[in-house]
Amino acid sequence: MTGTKTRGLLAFIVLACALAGCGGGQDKPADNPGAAVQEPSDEPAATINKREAIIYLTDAELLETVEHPVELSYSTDEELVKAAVAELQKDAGENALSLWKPIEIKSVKLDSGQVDLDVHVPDEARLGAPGELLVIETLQKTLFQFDFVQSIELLVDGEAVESLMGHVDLEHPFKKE
Amino acid sequence: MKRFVSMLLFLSVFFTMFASVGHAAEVVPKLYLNGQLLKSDVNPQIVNDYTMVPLAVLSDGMGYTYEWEHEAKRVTVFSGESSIVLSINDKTAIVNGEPVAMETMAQLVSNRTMVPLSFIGTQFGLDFEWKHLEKEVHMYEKPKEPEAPAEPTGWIKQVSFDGVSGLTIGYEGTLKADKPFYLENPRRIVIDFPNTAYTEEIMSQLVGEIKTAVEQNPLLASYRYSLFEPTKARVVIDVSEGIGFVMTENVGELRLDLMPAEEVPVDPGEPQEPPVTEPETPTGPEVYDIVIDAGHGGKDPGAYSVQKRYEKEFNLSVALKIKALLDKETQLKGHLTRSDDTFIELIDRVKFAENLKADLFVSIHANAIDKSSVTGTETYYSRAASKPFADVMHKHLLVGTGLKDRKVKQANYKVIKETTMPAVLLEAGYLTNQTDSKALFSDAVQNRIASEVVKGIKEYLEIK
Repeated sequence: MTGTKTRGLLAFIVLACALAGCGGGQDKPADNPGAAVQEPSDEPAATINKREAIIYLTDAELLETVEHPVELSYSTDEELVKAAVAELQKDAGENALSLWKPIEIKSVKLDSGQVDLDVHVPDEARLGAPGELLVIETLQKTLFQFDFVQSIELLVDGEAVESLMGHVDLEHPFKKE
Repeated sequence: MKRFVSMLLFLSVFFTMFASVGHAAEVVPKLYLNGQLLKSDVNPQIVNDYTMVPLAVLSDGMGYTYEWEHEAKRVTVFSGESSIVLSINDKTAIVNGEPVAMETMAQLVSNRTMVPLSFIGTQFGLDFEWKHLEKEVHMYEKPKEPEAPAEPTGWIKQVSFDGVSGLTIGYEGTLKADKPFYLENPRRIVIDFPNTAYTEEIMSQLVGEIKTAVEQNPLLASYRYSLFEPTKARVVIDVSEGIGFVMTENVGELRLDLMPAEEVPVDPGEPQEPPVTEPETPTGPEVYDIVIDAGHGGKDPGAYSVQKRYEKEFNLSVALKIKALLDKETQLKGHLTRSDDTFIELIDRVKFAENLKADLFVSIHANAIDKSSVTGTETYYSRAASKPFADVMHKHLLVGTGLKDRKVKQANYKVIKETTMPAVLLEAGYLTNQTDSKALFSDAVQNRIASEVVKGIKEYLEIK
């Protein structure tokens, strides 16, 4: 009985992986220039690019932004934005904290140079005024480093609200200066 | 029925007629010269943000004369020996024979010549103030000095700034300043000294004007001086928004102390500087309107404390306590942006204070950060003119909270950025820190904070 269930679950995971294309092996060839040539030709040409990017975090005393260089893998510009947002949610040591960690990302889209970022702010993610400024600053600095990002529309639960956390007014959208 | 339809027709034509006059006619600004309302048969209009007036206003209201040349579509306006030539749809005016670029131009509106009021008035030496809410243009004449440019009787030998707030003008002979006035864009205080020149030492360096920049000072950006006319010296101070001054005369020197306009003592014997203060209530001691803004509320709970309580509760509780204390003061009137658990947009908090023409704005908040070790009290200001208020309030807030001093800081939070009175945002402590949170939710500490906030307000306003 239990065995069947486990087998069914395994089958499901394998299937889900195949559908989502998350097999680590599929991504691997890109790392290896020799193997790249042998990529199956029936796959849409999803070239995996890599680039250095700066993720902006904050220092432990919440006084300033901290630059954290990472390497991001992506095939499209939108994936690059998603990868950067994902990194924005990770701490990178004692003195490089992510203020985005507790904020739930509902969707990230890139359309004609505008990033549409829909988030949910749980209670424990609500910061004081200086924290809110840094939340917005780190997002802007991180995404505006990409030449193709011209504006950011930050929505809370799908709504263009006046303020994310009640101190700083959001521009709809934020435009690159 | 028929009559009703024709009435409707009439009404629609009626409205169309008005519409054709154009959007410019929507707002009719009122014009005041030295506090007197100017009457005009034809309404002034605002065209592209400039107040345009018919020529009759210049002659009847302002006492200028003018000549209209029909063929050339050109008007020449005279005041004393000065003249301004304006041509219809031409952005270049001729002022005393010299071409001067304007940002707007004389134009025909419904076949009537309308001329830009502030350009003409400014050229003829009037000071202007635009009251946006009231849609009023206030013009002030400078006191007239005897016209004949006599030999100078005073010589400025030095203009210096003490690095903090005092500007000193040293002189020889006799020095008499005209009443200082304000000009905008950039905002500046202008003081003219008739019958005054500079000592030879300064004259030898004076080409145009001598300008000194002042760095990192919330009161002013620079000061400069020049010879405005052959025997009239002019000193200009490029001040920040909302800065006033007190002028004191000593033997051989004249001193200007800059300060936020609200701190300028009101001298009942002197006519007031128009832009500095609103008309005062005629009797009794002045009553100051203080806005106490409890941050967050309703669907926006603010930060979440380690005690599992919301920031909005703390903010409201302290705001109510402050209000209760203000109610006991005769010279202070407290106004709350919210007195219960209601959500209010930031912009509405700003409007609330602006509509009240409040004297001070205090926003109550508590801080939070995703790191429990961070602790302490911060006070924020946005505009430079609010810095002195922030300094006073922070000193008291520290006593109130008893927490670590995380200093006075500058940041552009909406409610303190977009209000125009001195405004501070208090971050009393970190609700994400055990010690801070426990203190801030204790009734005793909240009472002490409220009492210190009121003490700070009184100290700033110099109320006993």
